[in-house]
Amino acid sequence: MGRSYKTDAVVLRSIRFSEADRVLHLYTLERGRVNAIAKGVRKTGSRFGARLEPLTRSALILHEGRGELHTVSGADIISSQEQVRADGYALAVGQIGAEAVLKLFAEPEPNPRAYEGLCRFLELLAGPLERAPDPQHDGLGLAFQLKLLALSGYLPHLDSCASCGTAGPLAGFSPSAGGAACAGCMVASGGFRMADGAIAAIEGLLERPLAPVALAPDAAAGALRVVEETYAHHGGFRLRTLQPS
Amino acid sequence: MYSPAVENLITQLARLPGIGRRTAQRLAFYILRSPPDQALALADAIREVKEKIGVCEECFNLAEGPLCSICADARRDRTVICVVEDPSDVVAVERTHEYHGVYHVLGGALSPIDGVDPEHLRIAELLRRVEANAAVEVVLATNPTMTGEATAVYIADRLRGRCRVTRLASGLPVGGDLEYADEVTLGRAFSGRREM
Repeated sequence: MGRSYKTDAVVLRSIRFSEADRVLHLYTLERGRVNAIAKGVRKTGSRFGARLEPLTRSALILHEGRGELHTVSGADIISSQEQVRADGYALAVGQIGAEAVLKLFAEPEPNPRAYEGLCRFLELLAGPLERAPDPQHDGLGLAFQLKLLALSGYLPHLDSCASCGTAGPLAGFSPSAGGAACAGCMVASGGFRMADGAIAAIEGLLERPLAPVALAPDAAAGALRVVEETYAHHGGFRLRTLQPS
Repeated sequence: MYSPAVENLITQLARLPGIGRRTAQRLAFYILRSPPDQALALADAIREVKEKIGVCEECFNLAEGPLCSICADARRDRTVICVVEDPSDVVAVERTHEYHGVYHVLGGALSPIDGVDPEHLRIAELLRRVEANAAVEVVLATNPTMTGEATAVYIADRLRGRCRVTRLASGLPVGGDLEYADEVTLGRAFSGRREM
């Protein structure tokens, strides 16, 4: 016998399934990552309507059966993110954030701070943004990804060389050492050079509350590389949404 | 348990969408019981459709020959192009009898998270058709989903200044009750309300 439960959830991804169903990848407040099936949701007469669109935050009733997929039996919108979906740039930044959560928090383990961060990120996306030349270099998106890295245990060490401990000068970043590196350690550990001020910019993004922020091009490029290389080195993945189209 | 021929039939039927092994077994036994001409007609229909049906050179709809029946119809207005995600959407729009232009089938919708980028869709072909047909209007009829909306926004940006770009209206389904509508659908119905 299965049982039903209520949870606050954000739809991270939605995949067409069978005739008229969708499989949803959800991030929930109470259980972390959950996969669920929404039956008949693709029919125009579905009672779910727009309540299960990606990036929507909803109060869900899920039925947990014997299988791995839970079944959505009720949904009420908390925040629709309609403005985000109507803006190509904001939507692209939102999808980067959603994919980062998908990859970094893949287990059904609750993490209320990650959930609150995701909700705050989506809330900010619906407001005025500091637009970068492309969504991959957006300051809010990069700040959110850095905070997710910190919450998942990959907080980059930025105060001193992560390899030898020297206070500076810091020349670049070493994914294998897990943080900033001096010139010698950067080369020895296969790291990469970063522009002046890029490490300080990343520190700022990690320390300040999540907010739309305009980054200098060098700082944005550095933060993006740090995020991508940390994903690849520690997580063994790259985000599809970060690949330039 | 079954002879190899029956087992093969069940396996092939079970590969169809929405058909599990149990349903495949039922269908296989139905085919075994049916008269030979009926079963062979089904086999011939499958063979014929795979041999004869391709995609239309103009709009990428399903076609028996180089052009689909819509593109081959001289009465259709070639200056109005309706953009849809899949060939099944063409059938849905045609059922309305409200549209007399031509179509353009994209072959999906933009979804970076699934690795579907603009170059994976027939967007470049659409832009070329708009120029070649001297199109006056492009109707964006992608699905009202996140990926469909993202595709519509992307195409509208690319077509800005070239021709009129319109999007299908969204709102309440006919025959439904207002109280069951979700906020987004009802909100769009309100913002798109019309004078009476």
